[in-house]
Amino acid sequence: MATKENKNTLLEVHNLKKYFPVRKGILRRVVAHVKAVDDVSFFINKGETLGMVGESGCGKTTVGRTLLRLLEPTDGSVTLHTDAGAVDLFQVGGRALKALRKELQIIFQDPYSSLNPRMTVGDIISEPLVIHKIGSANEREARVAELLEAVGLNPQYAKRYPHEFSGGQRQRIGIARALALDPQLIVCDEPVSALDVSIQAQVINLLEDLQKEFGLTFLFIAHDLSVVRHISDRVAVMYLGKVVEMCETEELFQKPLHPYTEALLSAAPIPNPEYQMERIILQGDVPSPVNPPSGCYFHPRCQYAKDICREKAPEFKEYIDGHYSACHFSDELTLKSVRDIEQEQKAYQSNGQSAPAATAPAAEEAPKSDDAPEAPAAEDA
Amino acid sequence: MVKLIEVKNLRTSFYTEDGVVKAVDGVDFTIDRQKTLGIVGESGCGKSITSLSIMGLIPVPPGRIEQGSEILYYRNEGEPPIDLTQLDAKGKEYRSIRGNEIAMIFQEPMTSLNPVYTIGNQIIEAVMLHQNVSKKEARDRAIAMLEAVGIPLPDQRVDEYPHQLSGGMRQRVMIAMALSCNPTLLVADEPTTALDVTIQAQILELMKGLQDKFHMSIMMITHNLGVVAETADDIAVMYLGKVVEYTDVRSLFRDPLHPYTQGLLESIPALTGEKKRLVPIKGMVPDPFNIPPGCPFEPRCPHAMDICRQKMPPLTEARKGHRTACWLYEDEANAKPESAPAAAE
Repeated sequence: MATKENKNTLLEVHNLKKYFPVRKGILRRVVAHVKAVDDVSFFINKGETLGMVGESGCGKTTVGRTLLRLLEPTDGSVTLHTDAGAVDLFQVGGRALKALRKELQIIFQDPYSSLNPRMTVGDIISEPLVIHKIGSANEREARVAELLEAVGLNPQYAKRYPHEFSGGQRQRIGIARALALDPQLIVCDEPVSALDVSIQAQVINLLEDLQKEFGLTFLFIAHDLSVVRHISDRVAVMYLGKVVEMCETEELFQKPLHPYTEALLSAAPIPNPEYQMERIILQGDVPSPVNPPSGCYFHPRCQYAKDICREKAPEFKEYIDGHYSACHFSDELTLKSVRDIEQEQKAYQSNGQSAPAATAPAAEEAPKSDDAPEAPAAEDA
Repeated sequence: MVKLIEVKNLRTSFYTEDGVVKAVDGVDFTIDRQKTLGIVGESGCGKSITSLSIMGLIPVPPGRIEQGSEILYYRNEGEPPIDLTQLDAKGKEYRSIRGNEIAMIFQEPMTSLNPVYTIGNQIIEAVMLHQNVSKKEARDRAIAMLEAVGIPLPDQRVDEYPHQLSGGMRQRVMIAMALSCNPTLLVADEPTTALDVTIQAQILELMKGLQDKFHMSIMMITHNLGVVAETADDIAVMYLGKVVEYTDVRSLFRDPLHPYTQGLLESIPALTGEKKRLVPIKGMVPDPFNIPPGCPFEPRCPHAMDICRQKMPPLTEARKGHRTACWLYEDEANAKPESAPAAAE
């Protein structure tokens, strides 16, 4: 078992697998499987945000949907710890499952396709209440007004239709719907990646406030590392259907143990033109999950790969307290972290650059727009 | 610095049944030879329409480039420029420029390639349209270009269809196609937005390398401040069809002047440094049919004054080589003798 839990654990996922069949020919015979999620184990503690990062096709969305049983799992178990005791979500069905769904909600990525255009905002938000037969019509109306207020929208908007709202407002409606049943866990599936940056910040702040107010637990799925760093308490990094690293957020950014995490951190563009670092540029693309490489799935793109990586899949195990990694060399490698990037950045700036003052007219030593950008180091060193 | 493109007072509007949308409303900037101009802004700010105006790809009607707009293209050094707005967008001269001397790559590599032709055919088509070469030479050129953009086994890949390639590979094909006629300007409209970070890093690195190799200018349109910080020499920040700040990349990040730029920089979470609560820009972008009078950013601006509600501030030089359109800096701009228009060139 790769993960250990404590009494604070809300959700445990063990050896979760989700394979999609690939069918071919007239008989639609199954010729292969897409291993979208391939033996994933992790846990989420009460009240925390677990960030899940990875590139497209790594299976992060499938993890979120499978553990809500929006997709049926191929194998594995998901245990939810409620006040009434622990339940394996994959072993229940019918009425028991429906009751459990109250505790688990989801916010979708695309605010344009996740709201029914023919329903009013009030109907959309109260639908979960109707399905679970909660409250009278009047009570539901009051609840909708309360929820709209909680997500920062005018309660009068309940009578309007989704097309009357902007992307950011729609995402707020989606959040209100997820909150309607007072769930314990919300799976946020890329909730801000379809939004403009200024709106993104509004929605992130809202999610943080709601988490504090209602004691929510989030599984926050995203591909943007800076957003994940901002919102998560712990982070799980996925690559080709597997979790390759999991630990506390700062630990991940300061001391990554997996070479894929290192490359991911290094690839993120930094909005600071004064400092441009040496990037680790991964070669090639993510391999196909139908035919994953032998051994460690990351070895064809890994700069540290050795023979063993081609032959044996590394175990996902705990290296330091609460820091899990799936790499044969996590003990040996010293990987570049964000802290190193930061220090280089500082050293670079103090090395002959005046401090970047935000308000003072510091621009005088950046002479003219045309000759400044090309030789940053030489300028007044 | 040698100018390649000079855009003066560009205004592109769309006449729809619901009213007129001034998508680009009085934009000025210059792209120098072998330099990269970054255009940054959120959706609806007019950055893509600016690029389509340069390419002569505005659908007419409903679109129209208004009288008085100028897009000066300095085709040959030392010769008078061509005003692209005066050319017939479907005419011979524009076609000799578009795709040949000024090429474009689009955001969506999935939808901008034709699925029923091999990638080789699509590149060969572009080459044969613009260059006087045989099919054999065009094919050789296509293979060479695929190799230049880092596609493995280019002589085999040239006969593959777009669906056989991954997103990053398709974007490389788009770049190969755009560069196949050796353009002087590459217009890149959100070239990495649809790609993953590790692939984005590959493509940005590739574009930088190719810029040096082919001596071209790049107009990089993006909403990602990290991407422009890495690639651009100069940056124009756009908001609701107007350039609100225009300077070199280092001044912009070191000393952002316009409240909108400051707001943008504060609202992105950082990968380094201390975590702090994000400061979002309040409200949202106004309806393009009802742009408020005065400064378009006024309803969202923390420093809004009375004058902001009445009059649009001009884009003036608030610091040396650093222009912004904001009344906050108007005194500083007026204090200096009027050298603004010449300085950024």
